[in-house]
Amino acid sequence: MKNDTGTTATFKRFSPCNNTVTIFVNGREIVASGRDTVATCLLVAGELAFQYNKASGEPRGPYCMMGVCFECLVTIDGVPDLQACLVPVEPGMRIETQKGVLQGRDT
Amino acid sequence: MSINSVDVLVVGAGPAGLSAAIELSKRGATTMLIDEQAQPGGQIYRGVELCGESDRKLFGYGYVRGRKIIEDFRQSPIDYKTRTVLVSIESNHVADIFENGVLKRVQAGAIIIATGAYERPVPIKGWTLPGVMTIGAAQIAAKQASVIPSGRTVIVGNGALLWLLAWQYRNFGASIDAIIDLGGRKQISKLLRDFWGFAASSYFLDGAKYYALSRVSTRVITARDQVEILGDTRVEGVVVMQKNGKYQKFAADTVLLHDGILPNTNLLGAIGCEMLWSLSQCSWRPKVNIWQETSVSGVFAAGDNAGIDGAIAAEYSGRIAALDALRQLQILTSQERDTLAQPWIRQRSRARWGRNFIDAYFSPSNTVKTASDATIVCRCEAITHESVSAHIQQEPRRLAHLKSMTRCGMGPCQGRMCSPSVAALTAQISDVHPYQVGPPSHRFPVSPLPLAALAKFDVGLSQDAGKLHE
Repeated sequence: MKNDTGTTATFKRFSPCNNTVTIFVNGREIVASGRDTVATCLLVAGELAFQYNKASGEPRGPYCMMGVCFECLVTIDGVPDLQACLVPVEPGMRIETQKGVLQGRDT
Repeated sequence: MSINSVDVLVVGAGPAGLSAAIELSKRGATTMLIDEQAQPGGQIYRGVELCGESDRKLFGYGYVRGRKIIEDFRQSPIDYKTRTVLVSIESNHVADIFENGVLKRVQAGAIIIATGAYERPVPIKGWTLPGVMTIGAAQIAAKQASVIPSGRTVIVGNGALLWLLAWQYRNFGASIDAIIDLGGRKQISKLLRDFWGFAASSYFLDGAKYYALSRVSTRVITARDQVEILGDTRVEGVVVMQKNGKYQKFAADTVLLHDGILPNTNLLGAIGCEMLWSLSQCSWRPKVNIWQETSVSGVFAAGDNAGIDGAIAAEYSGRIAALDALRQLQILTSQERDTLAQPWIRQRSRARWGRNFIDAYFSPSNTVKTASDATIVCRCEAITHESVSAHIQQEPRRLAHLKSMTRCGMGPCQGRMCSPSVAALTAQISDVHPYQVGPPSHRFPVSPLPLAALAKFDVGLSQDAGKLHE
């Protein structure tokens, strides 16, 4: 299954989503399911590495999908280091995969 | 500053927490239930409320049971806070919770912790590559939004969940290219002893079905030796090295790992609950009495975080904890509690039948013991097996020392992904039993929160200067 950039996504859905939501992933417009967390949506959109480990610089992606591994950290609407697997998608959300972790916040 | 006051604070919206909250509110206790997730159900019943009718049965294994529990929960007068975590508890049950970016204080009469379980980490070389996740994660993706791998999938691990997932994936139309079974030789004498409990349990027929169907329809390779995951910036395959020097390579776009599950005890540890080592489950659990009360007065642990007993037993242990909490609050007398608890206590025992057999049959393979030097043990800080082993050899048996020397356990996951491996390695290298290594120590907060939230937290200093703790 190819996404907008032509790369093949590693994940797909086995049931169609009745309730869709439009969000932005690294600037791309993506149609997500109303049931998605940011993590499931990113996986179906073809993203596999969500951030780069602060110690080794290696790419990391979601491992546990339930909030205990802290690998799925992304920036949502400008706020960094949020666990994608815990956040439900909302219309107009802007999600960015990130370079490191614990980048600090302005507020 | 006003402090919210409740009779009972319940942490966790899985079957144990939901059942406890239902029981508490039914008996007239003011109840607050907080949960880190956005939807109720924990992990086992994740997504059951929003799941399409026809899809529900594809998950098997009593998934729909969760729907009824959640219906009852929604109809009960409970103050339910989603995306909320417990930050700390003081000795007088004053709890600080973090809800929607704001810290709030709650005075509770009793607290029931039902934070469930999580997957034992499976450190094999390459496990940190994008595209590698746990079997639990795969089930979560499927339950959350019907998400499955679209490419070549290889499962590596040991445990009952392997066979359940293989069966579920057949239902979803997700192909599995190979199952690499790390399960060791079975101890027949131990299994025979526990077999009758298993045969009489609900696990027997369902379990046998999943196992048999998966074994005949999927390629299964037994690997007792080195397994490594290959890839550069993402997973590309798995290689299995057998004793005779031969190796088998499997191309993969997704690799799913599993080696049993562990009680999620970080919060209980931070509260100061005494821990016990479970020999059959190779994990730490809080010491609890028949009422699920921990060693800390008025703090209960119910569900899988008190020991892996499964989703059904979790409902009953939640109810039992609720009833004793009600007695402690003097809403019920001891006699009333005993009468009401009787059927739940009986059902809790019944629901545990068969678990000993399953635990013995699928006893953890603990991949860290045979992992190669370059294998990452601490994911957050990218610390290798070689580094951890060297430090253990220098200073055996002191987990805290290892943490300060290597940073193992200092990352955001707070040791969830590494302390089981570090403990297993310490036991192996120092030639001691795991319980002698001791449980990892935890401090509040057990979930990271921004400093700004703490800075903005008004604890009423201006009103009662110097009187923070009554």
